[in-house]
Amino acid sequence: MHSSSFSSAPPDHRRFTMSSRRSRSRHSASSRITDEQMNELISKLQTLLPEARLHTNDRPVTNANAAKVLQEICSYIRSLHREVDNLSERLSELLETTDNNSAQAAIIRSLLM
Amino acid sequence: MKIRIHLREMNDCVPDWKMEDDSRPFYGLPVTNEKKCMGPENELTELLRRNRHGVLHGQTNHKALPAIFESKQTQKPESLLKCGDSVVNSSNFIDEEEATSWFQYSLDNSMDKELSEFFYGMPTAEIISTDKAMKEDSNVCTKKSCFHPHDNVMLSPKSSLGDSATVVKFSNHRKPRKADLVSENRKFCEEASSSEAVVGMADSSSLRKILSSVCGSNQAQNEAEVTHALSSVKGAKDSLSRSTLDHLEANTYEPAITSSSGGSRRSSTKHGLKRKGRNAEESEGQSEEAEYESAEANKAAQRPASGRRSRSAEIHNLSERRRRDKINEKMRALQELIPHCNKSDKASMLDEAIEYLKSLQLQLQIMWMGNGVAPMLFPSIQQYVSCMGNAMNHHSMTSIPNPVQPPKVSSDIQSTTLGTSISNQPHVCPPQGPNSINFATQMHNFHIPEQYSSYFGFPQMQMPPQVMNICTYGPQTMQQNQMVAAVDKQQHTNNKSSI
Repeated sequence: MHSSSFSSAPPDHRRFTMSSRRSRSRHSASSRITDEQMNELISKLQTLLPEARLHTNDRPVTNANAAKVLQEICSYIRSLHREVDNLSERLSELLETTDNNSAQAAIIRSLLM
Repeated sequence: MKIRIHLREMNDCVPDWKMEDDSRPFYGLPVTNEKKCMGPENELTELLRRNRHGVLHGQTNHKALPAIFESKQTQKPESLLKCGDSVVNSSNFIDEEEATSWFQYSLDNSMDKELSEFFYGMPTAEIISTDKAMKEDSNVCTKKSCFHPHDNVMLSPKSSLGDSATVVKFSNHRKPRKADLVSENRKFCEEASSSEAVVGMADSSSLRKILSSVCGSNQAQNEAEVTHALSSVKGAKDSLSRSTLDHLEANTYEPAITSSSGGSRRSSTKHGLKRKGRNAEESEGQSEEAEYESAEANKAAQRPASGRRSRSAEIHNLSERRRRDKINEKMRALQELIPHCNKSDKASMLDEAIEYLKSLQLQLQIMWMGNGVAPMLFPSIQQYVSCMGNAMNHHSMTSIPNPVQPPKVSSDIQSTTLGTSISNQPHVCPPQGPNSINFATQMHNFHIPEQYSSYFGFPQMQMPPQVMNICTYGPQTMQQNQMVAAVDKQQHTNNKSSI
């Protein structure tokens, strides 16, 4: 199985791949990953996306898809971050309204910290 | 779009730019102090400023050139280079030929008086890409980075290139014939050489790069012409320009090489010329590619049929490379989002991303539960019922309080230990006591990957004894208490204190 470094060309064009791998091998000393491996991982990420962001699930992840899926993942993670911030805010507001020693306060504090 | 209208209204003016700080990376907008500003260009300014921030944020590692280039002239090739890259990367959005002609004009119209035509013509290709890119944040940055060359092109007051090529009305015919391109290139390069402007040399070199990278071997002739001019120009330049060229070449050599296979042998020898002064690492790898390319080029020249095939292979390679670049860009963006991700290889980074995403979803679910349930710890009976209903909704994800709330989390939950308790929930809930116990149980049952437990803090929580005492003693609650105790012990052994 042909393996490529972080930024090398696809396996079919071996000529260019070899030279590009040679030229780029210095850049990435890390382990190589195959295209299939990467597409598999990106498919896994795709399954984590909610329905709304899963525009087409029947198509397998290819080179062309990958960028789109990664883009969606990034924006999804950002929205999750926003939601976490939002909820934390609400929880901290809740905390202020409860008795400091109550169990409720303890729960909320644990959620926040 | 509004931008198009405004740009069309522009007349001979140079926007009021000011010089960027040297310490900034080169993406910063290069601007001059000349006050020839006017109204509609402020929008462009705004866009560019926004773009700069976007670019700085989103592409911090993307082929950064050193910030030694102080003069406006040298900033021009950088931005052109950046434009070349962005165009190369975004061919999905810009038609290749359009981009070619756009760059052509951007370089030729470096004179102030031609700004009007330039702006008039430029936006059409630009706006199209911008429109398409509006939906995607990071892409907007890439697209808008194309605005860069306008600044530089407009603002080369020292460029003594004189009245170079005539301005072809971009708006009239956006895809000029290659003959025009060649003639304009030649004129441009000649004047550049005669005036000894760094801009000219760098521009022609970057022009050659851009042409070669975008056009493919159809423009082999043009490339040959340009390289001729380029080599003649190159001889007259000083070390600064050479270093500029080095950086240009270092960054654009790859795309340039791959698309020049259709060119003649002369091009490849010019590549050899330009290798002077390049750092050894790049040149070694790329000289091999050049040899490959020249071999390919020879074959292609001799056999036109195979030349066509190799050309299509070139184009395929180009698009493949562009796709790879896009993917790498997104990977980097993803890496930034993931906290404490120091992995350099793709696979482990993606693994971490998957884990992080799962834990984020879990965390959110817990917080939603906490949000709905916590205020109801000591409620009346009626509130019990209502908040149990709320909690159930959160568990089953049937009602989505927040549109972002992932319905898919329910499927994930099945895979965690929580799944078992939730599936038990509908059956045991009504006769049970306060929600607090259920909530505490759920919390203990969550198993968040260790590395993320410090972010969420849940597993560390020691349920206060009062909560335990609250439970009314039904058989289910007794079972759950035992479960809680067992899980608690497990949690302690599992989780090292990462507080």
